Amino acid sequence: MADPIYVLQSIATGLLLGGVYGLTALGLSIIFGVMNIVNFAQGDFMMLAMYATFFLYTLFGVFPLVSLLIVIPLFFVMGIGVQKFIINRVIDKPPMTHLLITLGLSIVLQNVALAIFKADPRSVITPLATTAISLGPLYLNQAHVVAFISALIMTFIVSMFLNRTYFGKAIRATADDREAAMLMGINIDRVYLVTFGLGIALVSGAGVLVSLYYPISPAVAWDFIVLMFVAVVLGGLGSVKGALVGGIIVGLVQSVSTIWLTIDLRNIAVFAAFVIILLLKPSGLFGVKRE
Amino acid sequence: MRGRDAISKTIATLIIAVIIVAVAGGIAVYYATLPTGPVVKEVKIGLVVPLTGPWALQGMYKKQGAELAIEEINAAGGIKSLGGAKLVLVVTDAGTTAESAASAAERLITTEGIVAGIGAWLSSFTLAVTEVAERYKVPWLTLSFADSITKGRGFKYVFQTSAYSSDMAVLALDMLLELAKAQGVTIKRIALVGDNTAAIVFFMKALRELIPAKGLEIVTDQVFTPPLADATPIALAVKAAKPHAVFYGATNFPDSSLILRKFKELDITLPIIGIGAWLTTPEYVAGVGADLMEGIMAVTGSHLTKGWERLEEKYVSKYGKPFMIQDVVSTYAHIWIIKEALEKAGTIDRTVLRDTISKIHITSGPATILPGGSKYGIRFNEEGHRIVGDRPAYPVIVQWQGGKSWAVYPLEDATRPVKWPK
Repeated sequence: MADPIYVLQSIATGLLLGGVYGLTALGLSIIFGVMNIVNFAQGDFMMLAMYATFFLYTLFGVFPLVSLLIVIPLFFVMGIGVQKFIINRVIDKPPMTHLLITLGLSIVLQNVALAIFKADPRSVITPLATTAISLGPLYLNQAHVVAFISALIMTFIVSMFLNRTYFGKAIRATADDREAAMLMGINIDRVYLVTFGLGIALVSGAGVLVSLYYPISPAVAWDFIVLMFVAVVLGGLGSVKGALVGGIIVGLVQSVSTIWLTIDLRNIAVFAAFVIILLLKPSGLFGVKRE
Repeated sequence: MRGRDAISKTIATLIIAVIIVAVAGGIAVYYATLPTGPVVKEVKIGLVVPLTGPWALQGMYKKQGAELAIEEINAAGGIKSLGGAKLVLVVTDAGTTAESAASAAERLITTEGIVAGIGAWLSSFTLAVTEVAERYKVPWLTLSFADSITKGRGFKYVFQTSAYSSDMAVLALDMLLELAKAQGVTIKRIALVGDNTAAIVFFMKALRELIPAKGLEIVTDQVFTPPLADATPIALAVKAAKPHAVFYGATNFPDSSLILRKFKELDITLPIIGIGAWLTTPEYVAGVGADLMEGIMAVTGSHLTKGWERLEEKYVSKYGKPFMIQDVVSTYAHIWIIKEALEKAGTIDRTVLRDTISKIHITSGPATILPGGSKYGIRFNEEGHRIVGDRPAYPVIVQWQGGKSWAVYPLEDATRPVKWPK
């Protein structure tokens, strides 16, 4: 019988990490929801954002939360660039082509990073990562708490943008029915540019937050991309709320499973939960049945 | 014929005699001044160590130890029996996996013509690298601990100078219990935290039998695959298990400091005994803090021991590191072992060199810095494992005191007395 404090502690940690997983999944979900593109390179943009955070901190002393203000706009522009010059060329091609292009992009980004930064893991070392806030008998790692709160704020901002602004509604309209949106005069090209830019900007923001507590290396995308995909599909493709909930579920399962399973097996627990939930609700928890 | 132009018989004999002597002499001088055998100017020694990735720090220290020894040897005239041939170190990166280590070793052997090799620090890498060395018949020395590197392997070209992991486990447990008894502290609940690399596997496997045999309980057994990204589950599990002590095997500095810092964050203060020199390096002072390290012990293959302080001074002034640890010490000794073997063999033939190392008994000189070396000399058994007297090589136990790691056991080699870890 596991000690109740231990279980509570694991739940708390899982919740905090899950919020950040939700943010990483959000960008992926929006891109897929609107453009029908599965971006395999999503995790690698996060990796680039992590390196950006590291160098901004170690070379210029910019504290990671502040570098959000630099990294997010930068990666938004980068996302627009990638969409305009790479993704747009294959937007009307079969899904296999999308897959190959983003997979190829992922491989290129990883190996360029490996060549430039080498394999040695880097860490953004701030006192946040090694101090905990004690909440009664629980210890909440400060970096996790900061990342979680920031992730929630960013998710809220994106949700507001998609629901309350004209362009946000245009994006949602395109996701619902591309042809109808075109007929209503919505500039689909511009929607795609902003969507992809937003997707990359969101995952880059997640990268900044994650680098507060996670070591940075060229292949770090691998540690996250599968969890990202699980979170997106679990929550329902194209749903903002779904991505967040999906992320939190992933975080909880990953953390709580280590009470009984060895740390190496925790992702297996995530996949097991994933399969079970999909068997019960194939379109995800908040997903709408798509053709 | 007779006549005024004919040379007399005597003079003819004299001339022929002179010619014979001159020719004979010429031939003799020619052969005497021929160079004997191929001229050896330099002897290449290979070093396969991680230079990138989580174990890069250990590779750096091994390289320092090798360079230090080679500098000394070349400054003193190189290998005299090879006409003053100089030693040249050829270093290659073992990388981050056993596969990358093995291909690095293969590349080194096939393209550089090394006479002998050292590496690759991490037992899991060393197992792969020594398989390559044996296949190419290159004498190879290693400081790695995993039993399977030489025990029962039937290899001829591999020489392992450190104690076996499983022997280290016996000593570590005995040491902990002895200290606890002297302190009047009860040790009943033990936590095991280690990665799944070869040396740690042998250590923990032995402990899993020894601990219950002594009537103690293993309350948590955490095994992880390096590199570790998040120490939270491990630390939470240790905290929840409420152990009295931790046996620890993280093998690389990034993973280890992550775990120790997590322990600090969750207010976990316990006696910790680790296996391996990765726990003894100076970086812990800056990365974790001297007060956190105070009392932590590590069982290692070698360390700077009593009587060798002058060598440490030399090392410190050359490399700027505050003290000398296993990776430097053992690799330094390995180069000197190869040197002594080359002197004795008088040839760079790798099979002859291998035979020489196998039968060697070094009783003086820098190679004897390895534990037991000054008293019993440096020797290997038929499996290639170093023996001290009639026992297998034994370890040095190191303890952090005042921001530095000191040898505390065996007592005759200790530079500081041991204290209770917490």
